[in-house]
Amino acid sequence: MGFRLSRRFLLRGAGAAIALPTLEAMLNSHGTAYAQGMAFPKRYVVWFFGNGVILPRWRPAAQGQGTAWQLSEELQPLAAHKEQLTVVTGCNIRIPGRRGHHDGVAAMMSGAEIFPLPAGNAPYASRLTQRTVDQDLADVIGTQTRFKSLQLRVSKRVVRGEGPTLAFLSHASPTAPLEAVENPVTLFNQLFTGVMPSPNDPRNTLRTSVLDAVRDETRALQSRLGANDRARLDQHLTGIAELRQRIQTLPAQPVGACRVPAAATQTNADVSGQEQIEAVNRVMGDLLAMAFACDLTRVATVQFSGSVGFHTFNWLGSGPRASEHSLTHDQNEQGKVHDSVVFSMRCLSQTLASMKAITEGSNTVLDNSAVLVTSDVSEGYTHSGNDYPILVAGSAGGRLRTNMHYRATGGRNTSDVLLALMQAVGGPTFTGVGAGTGRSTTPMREIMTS
Amino acid sequence: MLHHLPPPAETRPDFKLMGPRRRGMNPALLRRMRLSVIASVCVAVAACEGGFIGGGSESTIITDIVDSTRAGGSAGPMGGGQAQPTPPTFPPFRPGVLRPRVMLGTWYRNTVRDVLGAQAAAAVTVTPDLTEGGLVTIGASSKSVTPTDVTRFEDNAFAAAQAALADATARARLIPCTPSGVADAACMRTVVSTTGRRLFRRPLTPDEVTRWQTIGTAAAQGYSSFNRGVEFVLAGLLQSPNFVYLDERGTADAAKGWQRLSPYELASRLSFFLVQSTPDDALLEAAGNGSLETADGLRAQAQRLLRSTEAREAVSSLFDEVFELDSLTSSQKSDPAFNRDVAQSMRQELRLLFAHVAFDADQDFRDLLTTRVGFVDRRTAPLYGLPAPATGIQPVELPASRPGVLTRLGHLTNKAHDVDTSPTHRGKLVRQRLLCMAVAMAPPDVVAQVPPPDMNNRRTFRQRLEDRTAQARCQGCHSLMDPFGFPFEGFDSLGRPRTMDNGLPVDTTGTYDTIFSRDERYQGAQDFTALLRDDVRFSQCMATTVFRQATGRFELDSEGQVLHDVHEGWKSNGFKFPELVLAIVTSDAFRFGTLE
Repeated sequence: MGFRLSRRFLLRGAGAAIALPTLEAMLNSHGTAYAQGMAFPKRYVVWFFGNGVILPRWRPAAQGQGTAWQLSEELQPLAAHKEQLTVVTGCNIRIPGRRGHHDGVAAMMSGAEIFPLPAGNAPYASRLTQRTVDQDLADVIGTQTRFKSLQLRVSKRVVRGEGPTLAFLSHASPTAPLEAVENPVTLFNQLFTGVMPSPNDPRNTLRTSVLDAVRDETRALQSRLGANDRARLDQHLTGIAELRQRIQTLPAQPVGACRVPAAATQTNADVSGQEQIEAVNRVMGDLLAMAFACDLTRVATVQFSGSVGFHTFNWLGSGPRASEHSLTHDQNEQGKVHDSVVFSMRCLSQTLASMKAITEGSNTVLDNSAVLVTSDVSEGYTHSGNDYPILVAGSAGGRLRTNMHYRATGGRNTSDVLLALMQAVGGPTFTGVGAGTGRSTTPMREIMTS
Repeated sequence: MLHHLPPPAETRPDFKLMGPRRRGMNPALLRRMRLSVIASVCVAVAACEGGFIGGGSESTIITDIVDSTRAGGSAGPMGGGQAQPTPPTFPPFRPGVLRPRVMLGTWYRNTVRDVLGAQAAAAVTVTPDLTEGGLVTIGASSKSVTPTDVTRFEDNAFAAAQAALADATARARLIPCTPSGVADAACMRTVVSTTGRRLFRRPLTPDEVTRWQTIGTAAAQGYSSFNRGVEFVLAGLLQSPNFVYLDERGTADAAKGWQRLSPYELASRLSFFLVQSTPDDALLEAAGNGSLETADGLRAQAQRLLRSTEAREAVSSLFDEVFELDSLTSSQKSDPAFNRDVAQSMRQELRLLFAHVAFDADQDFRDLLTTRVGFVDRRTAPLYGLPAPATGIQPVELPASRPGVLTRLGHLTNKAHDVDTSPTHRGKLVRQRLLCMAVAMAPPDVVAQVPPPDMNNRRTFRQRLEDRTAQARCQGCHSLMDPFGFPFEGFDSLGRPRTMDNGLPVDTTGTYDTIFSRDERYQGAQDFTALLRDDVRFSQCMATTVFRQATGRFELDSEGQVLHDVHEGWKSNGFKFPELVLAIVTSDAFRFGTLE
């Protein structure tokens, strides 16, 4: 039984429209859990930036914990969060190398290789062969929340012509990539403007009736289809069931640290043809942190910038510059690539700060999360999958070590990190991740506390 | 994006190059051997260093290459003439598998516009569609409706319904009866069956009418408002899988052994293909009275739709995808003459040009590559060196040095670097999109960067590119692309004419397609585009692309005969675009399918 259920129980008892008592009174004396013994929820976040790093400027020089290690040049923007951070280096992508960029996304999101799509006129397109880790976790820790998982995107300029692998981070199945919300106003409305209907308003009952009719018609259609298409419609039916459940649960309530924030006004529209990445990122981070504090979801993926992508960070230099992806392939422009990585880390730092600003007992929302920060290649210039850039922020409620640089040896499988995070957030039910040469059954114990 | 590995042969998807395949003896034996050797070199290095992405085995690829070239030799005047054509043979016909397609964003918005009105269409949000094989229509056949989609469908459905009912004209059309009271079930049934027929693209069954009428009446009673009841009916119909999926099942045709698409399914297939929206009343009527069951009936309806403005828009959208123009309006260049508005104008010109060549003046669609018609506005005229028109975007006749779409600003700008041109990107589009042949990515250890100019050793960009790619391992793929881009070296990275590059005269000469034994020399864009226009692989590729658009899937080997006949029929009708459409929609591959 989770946090969500208990709150819903309280709400029912109190009556829908009545202000609620805060939950602080119910915390235990250590402030780490509720008096009934239920811990604060743990969350899993993937924060993804495209086109890799400059490894010599990314890797911290020394390894160890606490004062034994210092942030590298590219990690400097995260100085305020060093104590909540673990840097993992020395891991390799172990899935078969098929297509630059595609492999990295597939390995870090699912631990399994890509499937090359029929070429047609787009010979580099691919999709995944397994659903993504965040969705596996959502099945376990996301069943009691209003949103099973959230998908957010900051830069809109993602590549959509090379199949779902590059365009999306979360995939409920290989043919069901989950579209991300890229407009903060839309996100705000989804999260926080759920109007609680008065007891006399039949709206939600009628919406439910409509969905039931849609479900019945979908089942009827599904029964006439072949096996492949039946599986496609399973996704549709899952979506209907999730929406139906959401209609029947209550919108966010100001309980504990949860507050309905001021309405978002940032729409992620270009200004003079330029993306407003820093401003959008800031609002998205604030909304995400509050979504966690209100326990609206426990799983999220943030596509800060797309794999390959058409995004440009023009403001980093004087005058317009090429797309970040083009820069990575130009040996004379690696300095600009470095600037881009630093900029991305600055934006990440902002999101981590938003999560840290919300306290949960003696911890913060960040402490109670595991934020995986990674990219689609090690270095864009070579498309390498070796010595992969991986950060973990937050300790998943004390289950992960922090303030550490751990350098793995022997080209260790990146999936070991995925499994460590899955177990830290989702518990021992996760005994393996990935498939084929990417599969891991050996979580990276070195970054775990037990 | 130049560093992708091709998949290993055993995992390659079953992609076939154009052309009749697997014939028996080839009389042009010497020529074939020569080709095989060249192709083998390319394919042998392909496993690690790029080359063709082809069918399941290397020998298949070579066969494809030879055959498709020989088709060129036999059918085109430029084929060299040394090969005796053999009549093509094909495997027995079997149509493709019918799979439900998820409504595309454009289809969704247009359908809402046509059925619920402009206000409703403005209230919905759509997200970009997934492409597969370069076309969103193919992506729609494998996409699943995700939880995110379900939420968006619901939001859109209520937003559209509310916007429509707030508009008096739309409301009157959606509620064609006068309710006797909030609980008037008969009037609610009329609402359901009238609008349901347009949204489900067929008459509703009595059970379906009852299902949605019951919900509508419950809502009307709950809110004491008939119109609020209608809101829930409309919102429900818009979320129904019968609306969201273009589901084609057909009925078993005992004589043929396959599924024959029902008249209503054909109406939908035709309508979304040609006008990107739900069938109109006339088309549904034709489905209902049986006239779509004959090829002549289908042809008549297709001809009617082809005359509409929406058909022009559909053709513009298709070729916008073929020419990958999304990247034009999202690209940035340091040249101050380029900005987002200029890019939009460039894109608009190309969209107008596609529709113009397809529909105006009864012309040969291959003239897309040679026409001198351009469309300029005040933003693009200076780049063409023309006076700006007083208003809007206007047709003009460009100089003879500007033959066809490949010399228009939008394409030249889209397929160029920031400052430098890109013979490779310009050529790759021709090879992949206009000849339907795939080229693999460069291997990961290659630096796919042309070195910057060296002041002590002055070289043009073309020369530097040729220096950089001179090794055999590079030539395997670059010989497939760069010769198709060199003719356009007379145009800079914004499509402006130029004679000099880096202080040296530009070189726009080359050999057409040596690796396929097409050794004709060209001198510049006019020569080249004339060769390409008459290359049978080009018209075959256009026919294939339009076929894929029509059916939402790749063609099968077992449809080779149909595609061959479609192309021959198109050719005998002077390559007029509407004739291609009519040949496709009246073919058995369009009208029949199989079940998974």
